[in-house]
This record gives sequence, C-alpha cells and structure tokens, in this order.
Amino acid sequence: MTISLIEAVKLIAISVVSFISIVLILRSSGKRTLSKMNAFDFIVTVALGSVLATTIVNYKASFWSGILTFAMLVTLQHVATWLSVRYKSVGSLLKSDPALLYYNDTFQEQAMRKERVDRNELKQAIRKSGYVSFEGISAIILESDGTLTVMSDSEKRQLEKEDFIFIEKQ
Amino acid sequence: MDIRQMSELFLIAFFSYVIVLFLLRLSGKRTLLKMNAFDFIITVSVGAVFGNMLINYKENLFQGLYVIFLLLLFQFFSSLLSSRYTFFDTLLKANPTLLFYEGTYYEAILKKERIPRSEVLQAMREQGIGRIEEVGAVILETDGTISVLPKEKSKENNLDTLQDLDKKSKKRKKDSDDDQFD
Repeated sequence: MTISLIEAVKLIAISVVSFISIVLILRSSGKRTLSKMNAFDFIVTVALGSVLATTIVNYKASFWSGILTFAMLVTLQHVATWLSVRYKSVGSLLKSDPALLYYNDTFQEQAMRKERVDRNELKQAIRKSGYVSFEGISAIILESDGTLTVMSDSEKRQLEKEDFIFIEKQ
Repeated sequence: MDIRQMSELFLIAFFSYVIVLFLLRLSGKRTLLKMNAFDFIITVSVGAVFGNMLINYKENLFQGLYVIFLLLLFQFFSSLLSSRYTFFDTLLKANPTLLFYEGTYYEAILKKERIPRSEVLQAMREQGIGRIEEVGAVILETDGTISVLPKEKSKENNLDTLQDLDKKSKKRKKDSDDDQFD
C-alpha cells in the first residue's frame, strides 16, 4: 500500500482536528461521562473509542458524521446521568441495585444463583483484595458495575445487617 | 451532511442507546464481572460492535443489535451453566495457579505461564508490600491478574480461599507445608 504526501498530511490534519473535537466534547460534558459507575458506562466508553477509530480510518466517507455520532453518544450519556441524579425512577431503571452475596459467615445461595456467581469467584475476589480466608471477611457485595467488593471484619464492628440499606431485598 | 441525515443519526443513536441499555440491564450485573479472560473480551466486543453499528448504521444497524444480543445471550448461558454445574465451570475456566509460596518461586510454572520474576515483584509492590518475607503466596488468577496474599494473615487463618487451586499447585503447597514440620 502506498500513501501520497498529500494524503499523509491530510491524515495528520484529520487526526488533530478529531483529537481536538473529542477533547472539547468530553471536557464540556464533564468527568462523569467516563466514570465507570454502572454496567453501561464502560460499554459506552469502548463504543466511543470505536467510533473515534472508525472516524479517523474512514475519514473520507464519514468524518463529520463520526464526530457527530461521538457527540451524540456523549450527550445521551450526559442526559441519562443527569436524569438519574434528579429522578429516582430513572436511576433505578438505568442501574441495578448491589447484591449481597456473602454475609455473616454464610453464602447467600439464592442471591448467588440469581446473579450467576459461584463460590470460586468469591474466593478469587477475596484473594484479589489481599485476604486469605473467609474468616476475616464480613461481607461480599456484587456492585452495579459488575465488580465484587470485599469487606473485612474490622468494618463489621460498625455495620450490622440493617445498615446495608443499599442492598436490594433478598 | 444535511439536516435530514443529522436527524436520522440522532434518532438512530437514541434508539440503539436505549435498546443496548435495555439488553444489558436484562442480562444483569454478572455480565460485566471480570472473572475470567473471556468476560472482559466480551465486554469490549459489545462496546466495539455498538460503536461500529452507529457509524455504519446504513448497513450494520440491525446486524449490530443482533450481534450484541447474541454475545450477551451466550455470556448469560455460560455463566448460568458454570455457576450451577462444576463440569462447565472447569470447562470454561482454568483453575488458579500458585506461583510463589512461603519464600519459594516455582520456576517451572513461571516459565510455563510466561511470567518473569520482575512481574511477581511488581504484583507484590502493587499490594503495598515492600519485603518478600512478608508475602505468603502469589497466585495467577483465571482472569490473568496476580493476587498477593500477605503472610501475617495466612498465619493466623486457614487458607480456605486456596481450595480451588489446580492440582499441581495444591501438591506443591502441601510439599512446602510438610517441609516446615521436618
């Protein structure tokens, strides 16, 4: 494949213009757009990257529509988070509640089956947080962005089950 | 690009956003839990298909939605089966491997898994551990991350999170434990 000098220069210009547009779009929408708080945020971030890549590679066919698509996705994300902060019903529609998978030395079997998580995955989560045994663990929670939070015993002393108000009813 | 195209793009982006959001919400939190090598790839694939289908919506819109639906469906059933049947779990996932235990590097394993010692040390540092003597065990997890278990915690507790290690790792751990009593 050959690439002429004009094309090379054009490609540089295209990259610079798209880079600047993307920075402006993201900056105007705020940090929240790229934070990974629920299941959907990460997917949208990857989709943004994919749109940007296609826009630059196929700049002849789709440059401005690419930038517009990028702006559209960012706007939709912005509106969705804006609504979910203001209206509870929108928030619970967009985000699932965290689920308690292990508490008080017992596996919450029903919740584990419902969320399709097995015991080995809980062990892995414990090891990843640097603990070695279920003994020191008070609770394991599946968060709405799909990560597992491991809470150690020292936190248990201040927390009783009633304190886990953010956990959906089992 | 005229105004008609722009409003077309607007409608398409809006409706596919809602549909993909709905599909993800339907398949649950577990879909994005990064527990093995495959989970993360699927998540990135869904994002890439989503981006691509918006850019080339004229050709790829419905195809893209269908592919996302299928990816999430397969992911749903594989996690459903592996959380219910151990057979599928072992089929889909490797067991974790012990790389370092009580002061000994397992050289053959490090070579086989293609992990240099420097990366084991890096994993220790990332856990905030400065001395090798403070480390009880280092484990390569099924999603490719390295867990570091501190020693003082493994001394006072039994190591019940190590029950799912692969067979060879279990044997090495046992040999090493036996040595200490000699």
